[in-house]
Amino acid sequence: MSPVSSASFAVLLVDGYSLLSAKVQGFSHEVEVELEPSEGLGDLWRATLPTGMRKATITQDGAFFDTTAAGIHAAMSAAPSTTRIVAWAEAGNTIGAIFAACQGALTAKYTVLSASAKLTKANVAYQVTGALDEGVIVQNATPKTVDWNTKTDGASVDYTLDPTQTVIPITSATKANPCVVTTTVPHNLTTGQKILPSGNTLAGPSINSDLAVTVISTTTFSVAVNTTASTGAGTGGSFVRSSTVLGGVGYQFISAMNGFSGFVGKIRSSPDDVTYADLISFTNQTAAPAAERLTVAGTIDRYLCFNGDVTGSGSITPFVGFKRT
Amino acid sequence: MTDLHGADYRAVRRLSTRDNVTLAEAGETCARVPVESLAPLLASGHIEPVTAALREAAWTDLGRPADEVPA
Repeated sequence: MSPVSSASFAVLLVDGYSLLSAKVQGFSHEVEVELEPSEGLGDLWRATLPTGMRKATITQDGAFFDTTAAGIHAAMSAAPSTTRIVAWAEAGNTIGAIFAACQGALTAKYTVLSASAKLTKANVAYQVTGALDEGVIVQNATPKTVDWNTKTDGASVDYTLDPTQTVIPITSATKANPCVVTTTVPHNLTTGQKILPSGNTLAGPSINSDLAVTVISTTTFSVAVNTTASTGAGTGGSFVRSSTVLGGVGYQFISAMNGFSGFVGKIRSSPDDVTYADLISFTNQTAAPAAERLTVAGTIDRYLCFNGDVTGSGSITPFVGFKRT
Repeated sequence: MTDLHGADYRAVRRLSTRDNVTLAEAGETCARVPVESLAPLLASGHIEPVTAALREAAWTDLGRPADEVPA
């Protein structure tokens, strides 16, 4: 991830509460690999082995919490055993930018630093009981007053442009039917998954388009393209994945909602940017703050968009992200 | 891959246009789905063939073994 400044830290939500308004002075998250002792009798030095388990901790420093009735201070200090849904965006409040989130964040430590009038300054540390998810923003935090659709608004998400993608170099592509592609490093693909190659020299026809793969080995796979009419084998180029097959996780937060009697958010996906399939439908929300995390199995297509359907008139500020597994 | 016909497939999930106009609810046939979208939707598992014969053809068209066709 590229370096981020304070100005680009645009979203920090806990159960739908926006803590940016609480003037957080510092924020960090860490993932720790758990180790177990492995030394034996006669050993003179400590030895450890990884357990295969990881844990995440989130810390926010010096936030000013509102102490009015039903305010965030009461929520944070009174029920430390309540699990929370936390999300943050360090690289800007923009559709397609990276966000991180987790469900099952327990308030491990709530340290009050000082109190003044209706504000309390405190440090908060959360111990995450589940996984930390890092994905992309599909709906940025911005007020909405009518139904909307990020696709027709011109802000859908294309997975081939995802900043977290790993570009895999292509060594060669055969003159054959089907065409067999060899990579210089393990491709980590699954049969049925789609890729978008570019820059490969094979012509008549080219393989530089959205293609499903059939895995042959860790560094070879075939694509359903007949390249026997080509003048020779293709070389060079690279590819990025254009679909994933292990499902994903969607997060929706509502930090403000006034006037509307209901709101239903929905993430849709499409393999071709023509026809979309419903991917995740969040629960109808009637008040803010609110947060929900839903999982989905199976193939996640190249394009993602978000639909917001409101009931009545008013204003709402949602924030939605999606992480591919 | 053989030409696909929307009436031979049913939606696994609700399908819609870019504008979120419904083309098929889950379980309905895909007669209103654009023909060019049928193959990618089938590959993604968002639609499925109505008949066993079509299911086998779709499975092998994707390069998967004929003896592993899902029920």
